[in-house]
Amino acid sequence: MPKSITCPSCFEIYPVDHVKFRCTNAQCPDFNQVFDGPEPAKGPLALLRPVVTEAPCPTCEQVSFKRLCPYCGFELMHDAGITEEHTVAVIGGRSTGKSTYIAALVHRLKNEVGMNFEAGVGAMNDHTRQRYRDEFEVPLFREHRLLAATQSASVDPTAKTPMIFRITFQGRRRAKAVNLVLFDTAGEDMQSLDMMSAEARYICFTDGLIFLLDPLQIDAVRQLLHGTEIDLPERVPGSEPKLIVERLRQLYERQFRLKGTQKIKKPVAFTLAKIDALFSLIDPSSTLHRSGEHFGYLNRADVESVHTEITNYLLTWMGAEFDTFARINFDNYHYFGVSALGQPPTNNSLETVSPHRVEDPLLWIFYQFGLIKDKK
Amino acid sequence: MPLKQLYYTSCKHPVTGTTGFQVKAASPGISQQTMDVLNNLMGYKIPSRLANQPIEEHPAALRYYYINTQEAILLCSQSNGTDEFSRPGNYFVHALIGEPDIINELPPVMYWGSPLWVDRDDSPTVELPTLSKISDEAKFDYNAAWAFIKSTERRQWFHRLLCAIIDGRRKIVIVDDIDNIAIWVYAASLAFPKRFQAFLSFSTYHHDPRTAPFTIIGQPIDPDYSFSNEFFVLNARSGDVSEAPPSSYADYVNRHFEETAYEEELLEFFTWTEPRARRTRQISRVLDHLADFYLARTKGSALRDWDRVVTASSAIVEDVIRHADDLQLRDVEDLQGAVELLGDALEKDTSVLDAYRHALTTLQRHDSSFPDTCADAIRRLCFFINNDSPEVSSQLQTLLENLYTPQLIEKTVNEPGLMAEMAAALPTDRLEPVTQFWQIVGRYFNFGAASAAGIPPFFKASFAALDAQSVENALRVPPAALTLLGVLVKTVGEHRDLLLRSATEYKHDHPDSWVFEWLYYLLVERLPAAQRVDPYWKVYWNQFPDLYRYELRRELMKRTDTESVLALVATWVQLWSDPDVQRAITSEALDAAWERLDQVQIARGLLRDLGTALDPVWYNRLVERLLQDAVIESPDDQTAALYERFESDPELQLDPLYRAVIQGALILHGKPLTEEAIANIQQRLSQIDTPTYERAASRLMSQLFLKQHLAMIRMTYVVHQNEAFWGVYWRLFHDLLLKEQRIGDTINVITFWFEAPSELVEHHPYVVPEFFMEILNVLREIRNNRSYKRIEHDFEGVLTHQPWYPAIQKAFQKSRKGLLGGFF
Repeated sequence: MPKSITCPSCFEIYPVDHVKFRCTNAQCPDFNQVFDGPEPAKGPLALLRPVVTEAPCPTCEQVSFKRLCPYCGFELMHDAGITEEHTVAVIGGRSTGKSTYIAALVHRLKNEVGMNFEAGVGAMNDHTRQRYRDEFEVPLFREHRLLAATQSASVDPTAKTPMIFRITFQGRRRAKAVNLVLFDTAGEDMQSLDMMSAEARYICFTDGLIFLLDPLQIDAVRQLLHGTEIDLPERVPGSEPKLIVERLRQLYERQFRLKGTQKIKKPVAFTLAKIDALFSLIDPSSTLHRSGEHFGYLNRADVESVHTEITNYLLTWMGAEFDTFARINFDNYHYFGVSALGQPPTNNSLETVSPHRVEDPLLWIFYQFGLIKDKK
Repeated sequence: MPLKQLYYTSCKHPVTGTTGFQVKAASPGISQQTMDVLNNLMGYKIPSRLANQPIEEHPAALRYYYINTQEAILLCSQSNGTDEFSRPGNYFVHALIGEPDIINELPPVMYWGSPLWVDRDDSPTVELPTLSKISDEAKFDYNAAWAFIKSTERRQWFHRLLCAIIDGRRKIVIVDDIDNIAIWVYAASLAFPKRFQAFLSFSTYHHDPRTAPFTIIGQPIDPDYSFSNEFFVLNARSGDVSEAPPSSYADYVNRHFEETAYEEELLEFFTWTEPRARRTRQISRVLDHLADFYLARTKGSALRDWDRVVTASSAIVEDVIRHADDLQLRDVEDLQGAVELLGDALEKDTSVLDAYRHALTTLQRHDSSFPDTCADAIRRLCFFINNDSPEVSSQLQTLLENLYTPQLIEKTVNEPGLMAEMAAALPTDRLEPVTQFWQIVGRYFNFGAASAAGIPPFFKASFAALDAQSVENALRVPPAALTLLGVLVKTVGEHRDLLLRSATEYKHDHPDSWVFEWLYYLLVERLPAAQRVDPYWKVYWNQFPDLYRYELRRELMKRTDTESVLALVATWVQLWSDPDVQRAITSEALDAAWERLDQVQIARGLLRDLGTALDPVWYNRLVERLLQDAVIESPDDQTAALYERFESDPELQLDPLYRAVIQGALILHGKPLTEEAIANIQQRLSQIDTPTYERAASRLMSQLFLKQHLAMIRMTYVVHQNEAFWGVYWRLFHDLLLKEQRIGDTINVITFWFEAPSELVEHHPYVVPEFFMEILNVLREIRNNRSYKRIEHDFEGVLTHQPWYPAIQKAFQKSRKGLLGGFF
């Protein structure tokens, strides 16, 4: 059980008993006032209730369950400090389909993947539930329309607020609960180091990264697809994968004062998005055409096979530069290929939504966290 | 400073070629700080339920935000289709940035629906011109608010809305049609003075009220989630409106929120409010305080909520303190008003004392006309004195003396108008407050000045309060009354005449009152009697004929021993030559002290020294009392003289038994016998007990045994005391012969019996026989006495020659003693 809390807003780390509380009684003269919680239990009682989750308002004495980060005042989850928590950010250039990927990923987790892993997935708060429903699930899976662009966190603070899902693995002996904290990132916020630093600083503090690469922004791929039925989007200056991954490295160096030779240790899933658009370029026998087949475990053979294939394709389309940079700077990375929609949109509308391999990167990260086992 | 403009949307920048949400065009000079604020205001998302609807149905978001005194922002975010990747959700923001005064020339919400707002710009322009003012006329109906708020429900909701705005702790969400939301905001704007309208930020629509930095946030689409209590929600569709903490400002404004009253009442209030809130940078409880203060100052006190008045007035004081270096005349006037209101509140609730003190102290520092407040401070002080709040009075006294010079307090206290007020308010039924008044305020009275004419009413009220005390015995002045009288005397100092004059008048008006006597005696009691005569006795005893009685009785109460009482009475009597006065004094003294004194002593003392100063009744009574327990004995010269006076006083009506004592004493003192004396003494001796008889008879018989034997026997012989009589008689006979060896006198005594006069037999038929029954035994006894040898020869020589010797011869025959004597 965690004895400290990492604030999902400011990422300060502090002991669980340092949280503050806020009065939620609108009738209280000091409504909204922030106050300290009671002293945590000591001795044997501490084993029963190691985390203080409620405290009476010193003015109205009504018990408040609203716990706040003592540094930034962010409202913590009701189980912060109690349930194991892992933070994953989905990053990438503009229009790489990050939001769409998240929509598909959560949808898969709630359905097939959840079934395969005997895991239940649910939103942890109203904000997550409402946001996922209104901005991801309903437009994509019910109304089959493209998602609106994610706005820069500078304009929409929602972007800096993660969605938090509780994943409960049933397990053979006993259940295990994990909170998955997902950050969606606006492509605009990845367009410069300063923007990343100001609006997407959370990237440095996440436990894992899913780095989406838009193959349709790769010159070689665009040339190969030119003239096919695939609608190539406009080029997005400044959103080339190589540039963003370099900024990511710089962001880490700036935040953690990394030396040039030190590698980033956290797991990074470099994920080629929109692979459905590449199917015409990929060998028909390629593993990428099939699903990952992770039946309660991480299919390591499949993951390795995909990694190898993507490595080769990237070498082919981008040269050695990207992979070399990744190898030199990231200690624990893997390549993946996913399609959030299953097929390219036609005239900006979607006939069906059939996510393909979207769970692979996350399951690999879960494996890195030790949350699931693997099988070769 | 001109207005700057800015366009923000998702586009491909005409110059840089970058894509995505970005500033498409802007006026030069927008700072990064302003840009940071703008970023927080511009975000727009189509309500999810309208995502599939045409753009025209997407709500526009007119937003207003106050940054600081230099800048405010008014912008309109509108949905405008897809971005350059054909993704839905693009929007266009047209923002105006400028001085709040320019932006707020009209309530900003009046630009709702104005054609000035740009919602698309495909031009290559990246630089926008600045504007001197918002050029387009507002299309908003100026009178929209009145009809809108008129309905009962909306008026109630509006009231709560205002309460929530004043409370300021929660964001306000209005769920209504988008045009109605604009009117709600407009109405709310009208509810505040222009200066405060600038602080009322709003957005007619925002996709995320949780993160929206506005006070009022419109929700034109019913949210399918419920708001937590962190929001105040006015849901006009469902009629659900959150509760909000009460606000007196909201109460007042809502009460007058209709076209006519707005013009006639509220605008005047706003005009009053504006300069007083010139330092305020937000809508807050300050407005409540100002409203409470305004109403308390202008609308009278009948409906005042004193708690609110105190809070409001204290807020005024604190504001003055905070901005002490930037005060205007208006601030000082308000401070004066706050002091006055706190003073009024203090009279309702003494816990306001600290606030009042603080306010008054503050006023002293900032108001050059502060001395003018002295009268009011004194009035407050008097209020608490008069209402039995000694602790508060004491603290107010300290405050008064700390804030005002003694000269000013004295001058103010002696102003005729204030004096009249204070006198009228002084209670006439309780002593404590009156006492405290004299101790605290009265000491500032100038008794010697012309203003002293105003003082008697205070005396009169004080006397009435004294008079209201329940008194069982006027001689015993209640301690509280005594305290007040003492304070009065001390306060008037040398001007006692003023006090006494008032008391005299009061006595004339209230004859049954004892107040004058109490005061009078307090003044004279320490003076020796001689010093009382001219200034007091001759003045006041004439006016109040019974006053001497009171004074004398009070004096007597202090004396427990008879000697001091006698001395007192003697002193007093000697100071008056008029016998009537003297008699009145002695009689009053005797009336007062008779029962508790040594009556014999006082009778003797008075009769001896002041006999002429006694009235006849008391004279007789004293004499009788003197003689009542007296015995017949030989008097000293003084007593003898006294007795002589009694005897010679034809007016003295004495019981013969008492007269017997006098006569007996005088006989013993050598006065000749009279028949009356013999009769009186005989009668008295016949009525007393044996021991007393023995003592009296012994004295008389010793005195008269040789000189007047017959009279003696007539006077002293009592049949039922014959044993005692003869006991004394034979003892005297025995002593006459043996001790004094007066043989001739002894022979005469015996001869007396043999020649016993007929009158003796007549008066005492048994006395002669009783003599002869005993004489032989007495003589034998004498003969057997060892001393007899010395006179035996002489006595018997004379005896044998007496004619009656044979009758007693047996007593002298020698008995034959010896061996055979008994046989012959």
